[in-house]
Amino acid sequence: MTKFDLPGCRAKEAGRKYSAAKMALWLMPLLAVSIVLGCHRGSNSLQAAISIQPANLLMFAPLPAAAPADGITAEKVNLGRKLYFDTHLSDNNSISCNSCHDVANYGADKGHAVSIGHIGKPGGRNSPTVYNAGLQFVQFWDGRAPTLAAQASGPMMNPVEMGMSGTDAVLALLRTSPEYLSAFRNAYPAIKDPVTMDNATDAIAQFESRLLTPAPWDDYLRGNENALTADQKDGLRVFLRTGCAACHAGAGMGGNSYQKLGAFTDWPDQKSDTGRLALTHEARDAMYFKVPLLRNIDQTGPWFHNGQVTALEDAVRLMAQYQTGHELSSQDVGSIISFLHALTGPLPAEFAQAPAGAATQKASGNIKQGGAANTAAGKVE
Amino acid sequence: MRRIIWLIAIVVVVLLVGSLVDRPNFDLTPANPAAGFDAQLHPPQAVSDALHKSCYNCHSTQGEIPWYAHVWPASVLVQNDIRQGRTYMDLSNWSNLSPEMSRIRLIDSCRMMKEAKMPPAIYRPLHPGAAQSAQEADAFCAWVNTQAANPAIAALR
Repeated sequence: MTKFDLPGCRAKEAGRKYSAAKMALWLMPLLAVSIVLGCHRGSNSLQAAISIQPANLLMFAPLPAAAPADGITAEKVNLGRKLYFDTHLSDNNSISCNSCHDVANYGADKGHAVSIGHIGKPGGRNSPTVYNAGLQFVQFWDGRAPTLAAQASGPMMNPVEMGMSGTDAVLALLRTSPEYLSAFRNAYPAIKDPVTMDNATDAIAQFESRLLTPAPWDDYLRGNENALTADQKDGLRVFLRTGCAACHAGAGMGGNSYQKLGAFTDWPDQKSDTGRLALTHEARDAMYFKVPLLRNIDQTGPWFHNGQVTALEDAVRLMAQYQTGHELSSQDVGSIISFLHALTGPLPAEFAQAPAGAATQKASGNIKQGGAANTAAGKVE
Repeated sequence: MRRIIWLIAIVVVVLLVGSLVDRPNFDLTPANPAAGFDAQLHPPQAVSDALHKSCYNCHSTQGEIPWYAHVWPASVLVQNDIRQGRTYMDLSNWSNLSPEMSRIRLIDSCRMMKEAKMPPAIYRPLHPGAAQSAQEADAFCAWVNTQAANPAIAALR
């Protein structure tokens, strides 16, 4: 290899020879350092002690007493609860809202990447939890429903989910039930013919708006320093330092913005689900999803829009890597998970089970088996 | 003399190869103007101007990308700054935020400016015009405080 001198160095260190190889060796670490700095500058500059002072907690808020809903009454909540658990609202009487959003299991479809609908076909995305869902600014992973009430009719009419042929079929069913007739009349006494789709979905939304799970985190935000353990406070520091709170903030710890999956590093799968792009057909919405809530997140796996992540550790690591550009150590991941446990609250005993006398078969008990269903189920599992 | 030329040549080749192998992806999908900060919140002109001057390069899809941002390894730094900046706040896509999150972003931005944390210290030497004056930070925060009446960011929800 050609030998040559580095003039500046020769002036200082007379006659000392530098080979091209040495030069490259000297240059490479510099370049490497600048790249590493580039990749990890965020974490380096954030290493400065993050204090969990009030100024750093302004982006959070404790749960409200009840998620916002107009004119909430016990009669409406009870009617909504009855509807929520009623399997008659599916085409073959096999599933209810609760089948996939199980209130006894933190409102999600435990263990299922995506839920299986009334004829055994898989839904498109992971069933989000119904608990605290009313805090979200929009519903569904892509936000296609602005409110809980608007969301409620979606699965009922979805051919894959509950498969009702239309609102007429639902209303005919409700109007022929004396029990429902009186429940609707009690809930909406001012309305002459109260059995309408609007009232049914309103009642379901009223019930869902009561499904809140206050957690140690809320006590902490209200000023009880001891509500979080030392580990959980460490986890909160890592959570803040990593930048998780840029999206997982507010009363729900999420559910209040659309963000790009793969904001920092392009998400590996850009094809099978493009998020809001499929809804709006605007290029700027490609891979954008509603940020999910972190409340009860340790209970609502598997995770992500497609339910493909089955370990919470992986979910935390992937989010840090693809959303904020931080490679977390196992210790940091564990620390964040300690903090996430503080976001899980007990289920409200009054609502966390079926009302007396509800027809509540689980989906699995009544699936019509068919070729399509088998392949589909294979794909999901 | 020949050695200097060799040295320069090697550096140029390394930078060129690096730039070709590791091409930056700034992810600047053009936004709908109606989705942007100005169209969503209608800030006073002075506030808007100050944000455009200091924030838009990294916190929007409308940043001005300097020529050296295409040269490796500076490209890695610039790409990471922009992509990380936009995960924290994207002024071009403000309509992606709920009123609650919009409010959180504004309050946080006010704090970052007041504490002179933004634009970051490492960014300022190369962008001497980008620094926010104390008056600009005060004007921004004063405007943020008036936003309680703005229906777009009013109550928490």
